[in-house]
Amino acid sequence: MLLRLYTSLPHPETDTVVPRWQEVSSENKQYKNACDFLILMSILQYRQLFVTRERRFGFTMMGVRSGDMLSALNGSPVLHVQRRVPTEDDTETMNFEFVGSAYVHCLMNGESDDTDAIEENLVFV
Amino acid sequence: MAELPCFVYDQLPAGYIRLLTPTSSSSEDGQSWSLQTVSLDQPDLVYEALSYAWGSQANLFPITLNGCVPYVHGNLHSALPYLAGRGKTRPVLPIWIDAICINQAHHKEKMIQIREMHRIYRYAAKVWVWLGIPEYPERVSEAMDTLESLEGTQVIDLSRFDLPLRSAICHLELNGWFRRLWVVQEAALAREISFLSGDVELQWLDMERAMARTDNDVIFHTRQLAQCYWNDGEILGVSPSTLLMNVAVLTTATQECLRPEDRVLGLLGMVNQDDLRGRTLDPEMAYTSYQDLFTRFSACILTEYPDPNSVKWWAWLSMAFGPGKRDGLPSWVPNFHSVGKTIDSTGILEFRVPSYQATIGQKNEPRGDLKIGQPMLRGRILDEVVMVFEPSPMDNESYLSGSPARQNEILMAVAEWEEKLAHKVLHSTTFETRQEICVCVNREITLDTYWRTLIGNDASVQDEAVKRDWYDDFQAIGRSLRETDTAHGNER
Repeated sequence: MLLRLYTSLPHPETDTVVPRWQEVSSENKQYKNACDFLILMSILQYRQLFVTRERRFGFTMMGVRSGDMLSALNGSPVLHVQRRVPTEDDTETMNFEFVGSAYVHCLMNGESDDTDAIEENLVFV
Repeated sequence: MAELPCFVYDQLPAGYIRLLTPTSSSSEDGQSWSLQTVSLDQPDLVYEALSYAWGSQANLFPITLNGCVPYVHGNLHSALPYLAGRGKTRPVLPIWIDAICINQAHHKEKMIQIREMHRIYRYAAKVWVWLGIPEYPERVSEAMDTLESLEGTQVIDLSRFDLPLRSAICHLELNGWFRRLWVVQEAALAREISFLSGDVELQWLDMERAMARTDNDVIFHTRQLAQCYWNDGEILGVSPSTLLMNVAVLTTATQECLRPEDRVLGLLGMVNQDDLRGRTLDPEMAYTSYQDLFTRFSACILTEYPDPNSVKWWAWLSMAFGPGKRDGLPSWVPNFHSVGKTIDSTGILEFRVPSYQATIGQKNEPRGDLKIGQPMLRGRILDEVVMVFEPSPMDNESYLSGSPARQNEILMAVAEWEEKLAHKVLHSTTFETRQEICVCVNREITLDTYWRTLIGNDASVQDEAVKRDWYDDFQAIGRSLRETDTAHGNER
C-alpha cells in the first residue's frame, strides 16, 4: 500500500505531535499479521462492498445501490460502477452517472474480454 | 500624517502596471513609497514582485504613497520596512505588490490585472516571498539546518530544542504562506525567487531541502514542473494539460483558497495563455458558475491529456468519485474544492502497484461533447449490482493516530462487522433485493475470493506476501478481544 508519509511538527500551542501518516505496516508486534490485515482493509474506507447478479463480489465508492451497473471501460486499469439515468430527449438510449471506480475479483486482469458482453458507446452525465 | 490627503488611483491603461519605489524621505521608517505607472511591454523594464499571504483585513494601517495616505493591512504594513531594504546589498528595484499596485476598489481593473498576473510574476527580475517577522531572527538559519536534518524522521521531538529554536522552526514550517493557493503560481513562474524572513534572505533551494519532509514540498514540486514546461516543454513533452493536471492534483489536498473558482483560476496563469485560446478554457470566455468552470477544466484535461490510456488519466477521473461530491457537478467532474485531504486516504485504486489491468489491450478514445458535459467512452456492461453491504466502520485516521486502546476498539468493531459480512456473503445463496428474491447460481464466492477482495487483492506488505492466515489471525484476535471485553463488562 502506498501512502505519502509526512510527520508534522507539534502544534505550537498544545505541543502535541500529530502524525499525519504513520508507517503503514503495523507497530503492534503482538498481533502483527492481524493488524496488517486490518490496515490493508483500510482500502474500504469511503467504499462499499456489493454482490452482483452473477454472484461476483467487489467494492466501489460509498452510495452504490442495487440496480447499478458494473462496466469495463476500454483502457481502464479498474472497473467502474455506473447508474442509468434517462436522457433528456427521452429517446431509448440511456445515459450514465458514475458511482465510482470498482474492484471485482477475477476481473482485474483483462478477463472481461472473454465475457459475451458487447462493446458499446456509453455517455456519461 | 493625518493632514495628508487620501490616495486616489489614476486610471490604468491595458498592458500597464503600477510599481512601488521606497522614497528616502525624512521619516526613514520604510512606510513612505512612490507609485509609478509603467508598460509591461517596455523592453528595459526591471522590477521585483512580492508573494505573501494577505492575512486579516480587519485592521488597517496608514502608509505614505506619493504624498497621500492609503491604508494597508497588518501583514503588509509590517513587511514594508523590510521590503524597502530587501537585504541592503544591491540597488533597491521597484517592486510590485498586488494590494497596493492594483486599485482594489475598481472591479474591472482588478479583473484585468489578475489576468496579467502570470506576466507580472514571469517578467519580474526576482520574486520575494515574505514570511513575516520571526520572533528570534538570529536563530532562523539554524532552524533551516535543523529542518533539513529532520528528513526521514518519523516522530519529531521538539523538546530537545530550546524555545527560540523551536519558535524559529515553527515560523518556517507552519508558515501560512505555504498553504495558500495563489502563491503556487507566483512561485512557479518566477525567474528568480528568494524568501525574506524579517531582514534575512533565505535561498529557495535551501528552503526546498528544509521542507522536503513536509507537505510544504507541493510548492517546490510545482515550481519544478512549471519551469520544465516553460523552459523545455516541447522537448520533454510537457503539454499545458499535463502541467495543469499535475498541478491540480498536487494542490487540491494542501492549498487553501477562499472561493471554489480560485481552484482553477489560480492555476490557469501557469500555462501559456496562447495555448488556451479557442479551447474549452479560453481565458476570454466568461464562466457562469464555478461548476461551469470545473466542468470545462476537467473536460480540457480529459480530452487533451496526451495519453488517455495512462493510469493518470483514469486516476484523474476517479477524483470525481470521492466523498463530499456533487453539488451540481456532472458525475465525471471532480470537485477540486472539497476533494481535499481525502485524496490520499481513499487510496486511489488506479495508482495501486502493481497496477490492476482490467481492460488491457483496449484503447480509450474519449469522445462526445464535453462542452455540454457529456463525455462518451467505449466499454462493456458486465453485470448488475443486486446487493449492497453496510460500510466498514474502519476509520483510517483515528486508527493511525489512536492510542493502543483506541486501536483495539477499532479492530474489534471492524472484526464484528466483518463477521456478519462473511456470514452474508459466504453462507447465503439468496439475496433479497428491493424488487425480487434473486437466486444467484452462476458461481460461488469462495473464501479465497472473499478475503482477497477485502484488501483489494493487495499481495504484499513490505515484501512480505499476504497469506490466508493473516485473515484468520484478524478474525481470531477480533473474537478474543471481544470475549475479553464482554468478560470485563460482566465483571463490572
